[in-house]
Amino acid sequence: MSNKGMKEVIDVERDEQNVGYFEYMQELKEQIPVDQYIVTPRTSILALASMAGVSVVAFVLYAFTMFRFFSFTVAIVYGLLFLGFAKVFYDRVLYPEENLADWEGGDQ
Amino acid sequence: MSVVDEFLTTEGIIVLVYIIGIFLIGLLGARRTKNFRDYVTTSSSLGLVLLAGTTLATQWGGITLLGIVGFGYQDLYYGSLYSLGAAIRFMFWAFLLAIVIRKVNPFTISEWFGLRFDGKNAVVMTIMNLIVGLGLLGSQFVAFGTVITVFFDVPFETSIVAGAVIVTAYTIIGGMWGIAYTDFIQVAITAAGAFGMVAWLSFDRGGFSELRTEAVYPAEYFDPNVLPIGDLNMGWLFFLTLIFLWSADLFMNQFTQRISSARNMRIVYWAPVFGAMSYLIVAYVSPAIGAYGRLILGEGIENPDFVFPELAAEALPIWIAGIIAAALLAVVMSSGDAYLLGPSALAANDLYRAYNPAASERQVLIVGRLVTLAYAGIALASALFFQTIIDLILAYLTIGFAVIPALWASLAWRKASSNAAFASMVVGGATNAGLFLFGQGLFPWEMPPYYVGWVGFFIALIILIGLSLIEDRPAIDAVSRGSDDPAVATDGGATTDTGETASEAALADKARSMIKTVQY
Repeated sequence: MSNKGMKEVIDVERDEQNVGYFEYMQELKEQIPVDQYIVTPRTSILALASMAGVSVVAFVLYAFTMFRFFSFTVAIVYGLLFLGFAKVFYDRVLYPEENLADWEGGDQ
Repeated sequence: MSVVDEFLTTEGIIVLVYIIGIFLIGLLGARRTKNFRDYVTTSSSLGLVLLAGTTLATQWGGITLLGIVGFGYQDLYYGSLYSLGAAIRFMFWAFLLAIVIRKVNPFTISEWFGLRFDGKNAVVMTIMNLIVGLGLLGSQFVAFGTVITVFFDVPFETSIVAGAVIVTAYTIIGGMWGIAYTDFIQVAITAAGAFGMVAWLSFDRGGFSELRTEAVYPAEYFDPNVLPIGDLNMGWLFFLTLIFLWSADLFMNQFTQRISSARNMRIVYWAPVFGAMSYLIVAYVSPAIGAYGRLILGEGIENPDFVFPELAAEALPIWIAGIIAAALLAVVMSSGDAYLLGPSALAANDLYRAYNPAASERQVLIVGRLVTLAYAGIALASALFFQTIIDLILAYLTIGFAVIPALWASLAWRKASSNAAFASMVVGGATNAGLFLFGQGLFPWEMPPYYVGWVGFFIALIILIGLSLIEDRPAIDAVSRGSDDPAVATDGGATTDTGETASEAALADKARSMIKTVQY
């Protein structure tokens, strides 16, 4: 069965009885397979590594190049390079690892 | 000159037109707010342009055009580094937080913690949001007061109250729709003001190759001369701490709101990516303004937060100064509405509706608006007490430092247990709060107070990992995600001939049967 076009949101039905807050949370928890939505270890590791890598690039290279020339153009170039990196991360890591094909589309 | 006379100037008229315009735009949001879900998350309707605008607005606050400019006024390089930490924070948002939260689409971050862990974790998250949000919201009210005071010589406390009234009014009326519209306009005006200011000053006073020779700058002002790690005010450890402090508010509900407001997954990813990119550019713009401020205003500014507004008032033509004033107000108001609606919506959902399931949509919406009003009043009192932007932000973010491990674990670590997450947040957060307020004398060296955040962070991390490893996770959590045909509810139901075990198939059936319509 294809899941294309399936609503992205797991909408849950609230128990109509007047339950307390903790019971309500437990009820929701039993209805939703939360573990299915947590990112994979590979995604997590690559995300944290990316943040560390960008930190190094930003805190070392960025300032040295920026303030050597103090050029707005350099800042724009860094911004565009970052956008390119984000595109690669989405396409190569998030899309396959997190099954994003099942979640994309119009009004999901 | 009376207050009325102050605003009957070119700058004043521009600012008044701007404020009235923002208010009217906020009213547009009211037309689209029919129920509580609209009020809180626009019922997941925001496209990329509006979501990117409101995403940027969560970070483009008083610190961006006041704090970072002030830091750049002191040292160009440090001003730049101060900005870059925010880019890392947006990456955490895009790569981890947005992906998971958008799939689940909870109303609030507390609901997510309740789903991921249990009810007591949800309660802790609610309390943390309400407490930390007070400081962050109050800081924006103070920033508003700073701008008005500098430009129009209105008493500081009066200006703070005026800011609180304006932000609260359009937030209550328009909800998340109103915020999305106003944030977009405000970010556009802020960008135009900041970029325009740098462009004007570079044209009027020359570029940095010419400024380097000016006597007002210390010898190493333009050189990347970061001090060793041991310097706690401007060394590498300071900037590493800043990255975590910037990220320490990601558990705040306004981020979950924005994620749940996105129309689809691509939009929810790219909005914070644009946010990260914006800070790579802010890392040039804001320090540059600080540098020009040092040239034009001299070295004697007592409160660096005042550099940007004073520079605009001193060095720019009146009509541009008016736009700059509007831009400054825009940036603080756009953050203020986020800090206001996030926690108050959380309180309405998790403290009122959770205990009143029979409440009608109209009742919940009314309560949401009343809670917003009450929360603004409390934050205003906090703002009038502290009256310093950076101190307010840092005080409350230090508490949030200890929540980072639990937040990461909720998104990325299956072994994290409910008890471990709860203990890590409570013990870590309490440790940081106690040390920040009372523990300065415990350390044998002088240091800025927010460094105590590392203590709570590591305590929280050790508790989270240790307790999770000690506790056993139930077998149900071991369902494989690695098969080519992913099972269970995320894909609308897989066929049973995928090699699933009996327990996995039972889980898949149960999950498929649980997809129902919201009955709020």
